[in-house]
Amino acid sequence: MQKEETTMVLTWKSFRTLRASIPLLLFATAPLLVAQTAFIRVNQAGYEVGTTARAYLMTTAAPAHAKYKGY
Amino acid sequence: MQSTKVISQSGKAVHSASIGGLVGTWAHSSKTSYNVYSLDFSVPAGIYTLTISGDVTATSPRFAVDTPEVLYSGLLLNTLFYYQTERDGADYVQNALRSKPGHLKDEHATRYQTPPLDDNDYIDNVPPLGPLVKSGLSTMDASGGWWDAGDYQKYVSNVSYTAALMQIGIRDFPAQMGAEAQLYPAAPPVSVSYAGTSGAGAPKSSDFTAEARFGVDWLLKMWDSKTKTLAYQVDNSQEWDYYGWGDPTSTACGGDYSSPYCLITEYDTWALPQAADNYRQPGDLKACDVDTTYFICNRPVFTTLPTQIKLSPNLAGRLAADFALCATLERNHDQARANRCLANAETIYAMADLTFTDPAPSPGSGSCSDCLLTSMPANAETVWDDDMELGATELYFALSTANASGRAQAGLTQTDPLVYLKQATQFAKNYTNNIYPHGYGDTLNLYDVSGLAHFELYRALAAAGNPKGLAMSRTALRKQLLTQVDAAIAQATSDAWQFGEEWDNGDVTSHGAGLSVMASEAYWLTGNEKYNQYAQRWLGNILGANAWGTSFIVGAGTTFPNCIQHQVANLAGSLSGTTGGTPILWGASVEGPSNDTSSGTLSGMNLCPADGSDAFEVFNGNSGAYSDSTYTYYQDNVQSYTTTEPAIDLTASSFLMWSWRMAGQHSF
Repeated sequence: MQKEETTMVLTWKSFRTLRASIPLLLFATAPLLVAQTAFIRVNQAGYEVGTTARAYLMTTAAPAHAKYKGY
Repeated sequence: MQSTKVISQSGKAVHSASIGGLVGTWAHSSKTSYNVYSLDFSVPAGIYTLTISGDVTATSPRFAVDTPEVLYSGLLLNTLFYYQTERDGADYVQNALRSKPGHLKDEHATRYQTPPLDDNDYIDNVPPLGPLVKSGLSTMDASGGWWDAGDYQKYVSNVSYTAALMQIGIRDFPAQMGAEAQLYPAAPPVSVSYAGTSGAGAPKSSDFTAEARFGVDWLLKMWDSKTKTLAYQVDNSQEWDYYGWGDPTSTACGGDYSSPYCLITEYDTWALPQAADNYRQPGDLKACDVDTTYFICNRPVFTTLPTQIKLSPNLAGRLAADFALCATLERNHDQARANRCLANAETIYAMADLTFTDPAPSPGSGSCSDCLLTSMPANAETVWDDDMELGATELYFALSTANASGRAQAGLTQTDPLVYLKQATQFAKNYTNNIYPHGYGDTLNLYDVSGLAHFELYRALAAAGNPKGLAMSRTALRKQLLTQVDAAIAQATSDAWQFGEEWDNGDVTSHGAGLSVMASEAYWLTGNEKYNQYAQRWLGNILGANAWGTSFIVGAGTTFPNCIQHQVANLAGSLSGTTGGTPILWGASVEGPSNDTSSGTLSGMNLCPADGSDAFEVFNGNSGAYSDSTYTYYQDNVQSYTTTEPAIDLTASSFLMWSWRMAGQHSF
């Protein structure tokens, strides 16, 4: 049976979001001219249900609230 | 505040979470570095896409969340397709990529002595000696077996490793790799294409039983029990100094030696396997010309000699394990085959030369008399106590099984399986004391099977009632195995992708799957959830959770290698698998990221990508601060064998990885 497809949206709001909103609007009409700076890396074979899945955000930008997390 | 939301296609949010912390950095250059953040989520089964919005925007590929059976059953079937496609000889599988058998002349192959190699690894037989020197042994049937990689050479070293893991998988996971495997499993979710629906010749299930027999059949041919010699390699890749292009000081074929010879080697051709038996080079008057293409058509077999009464312990250990596993698996199916396998296992094990240093010297270039025997030229293997540990352990199981059946044959060297168990613990102790603490160990792969051997021995000791007085106890073995897994976890904590191996170490895909297997073993031993987590995390690292955002297994995921260095895949397959082109070499694990790329073309090779572009270049880099010494490349290009060549040993740990994830425990 075909499963319902869903989209997981990670919203990231920060002080930088507000500051960045104006230049983003300026470039909104020419998105292809802006080099992509962020990528999401997932296990493309999928994740086992019932466990906490981990994907990764890879970006040359520095989100304002990001902190190094020790393991 | 950063947050994660899961919404349905209608836009309704079903999940919310925060973006995790900075895991590490990935330096592309001295000026450009990526920050890598974790994105954790827990959602019901379904198909998802991750999207980040805000001042950083990104969208992930589609991926599934589901049970291991749904996720991995089809991928395991893909793996079987790969091995079936690698089959040489008359008993090939006609499938979407194969239409004719290859190398039928191997049925009457000439056995040669191991030739001397110069500092460039060129064959240095000096005239009047011929290009190769015959062994004095009769011709042999060297047909069958799997090609090693993208070329058509066949090595006992690599087949023995692959067959051992395959048979362990069949024994331990009968519902995944054995006769109980599900018929016609569904395609992996979100897969672009699937071997199971590739038409005639497609595997019906992931039952590897016949495939393992096929591999062992070839190994049985390569061991000559009458002369007690081991034919360890079929085919040659090395140039000749005096009979080919080897002499670098001369532009003439044959160098300063004036002769009509201009022999070519396996590495000089790019063709389908059926071309070899009558291979004709452009410009030659005839096929199989004695001066040029003779050894393409009449592939040499390199063998040990009857005067060599001992065998290199790495090969002896793995072959003993192969034949012992064969005896265990066949005991209730084919008594004659089980008996033959067990007799061979005992003989070969007893012939192991234990005077080699462990680790043995690293083979550089040229001949090396005190290096382990692997191939010609030698590969990087230096450690052998692990192989002997595995061989002795599987002999314990085989003899125990034979005794329990009441049908052990007469004339065995040993009738008491505890003899082998005792020796296995000594080899394990040697590895634990002399190899691992000094940095010579490795995670599970062709060059080090300790990650499997320790687990096998741990179980053998349990089966034997944990006898006292052995060199290592079950507790000590468990501790050693966990030490090795914990070391990989320690490495993972310093890596931006939490991988248990440094990315530039080579054989990333094989190591990643091997690490996942070891972590699954550790989880079974301890029940500690961290091992379960890392078993999945390391699996994920080789399937897209990496800097390049690509899977390194053909047909797995949505971005995977299109341009593998494999002649059949390049000549008979699609070069656009990620956009739906078929057939492809489903299930093949490629080398993956490496400390270098490679280039070079051969006549007949289909260039891929056609425009030579490199979409992954922007993601090359290293974990942490920019470093030349750890910089890692991945290039999806047919010319780059260092990153895109698949191999039977590289793929071997993946079928155990899938099986462990689905079964969760072994059945043996």
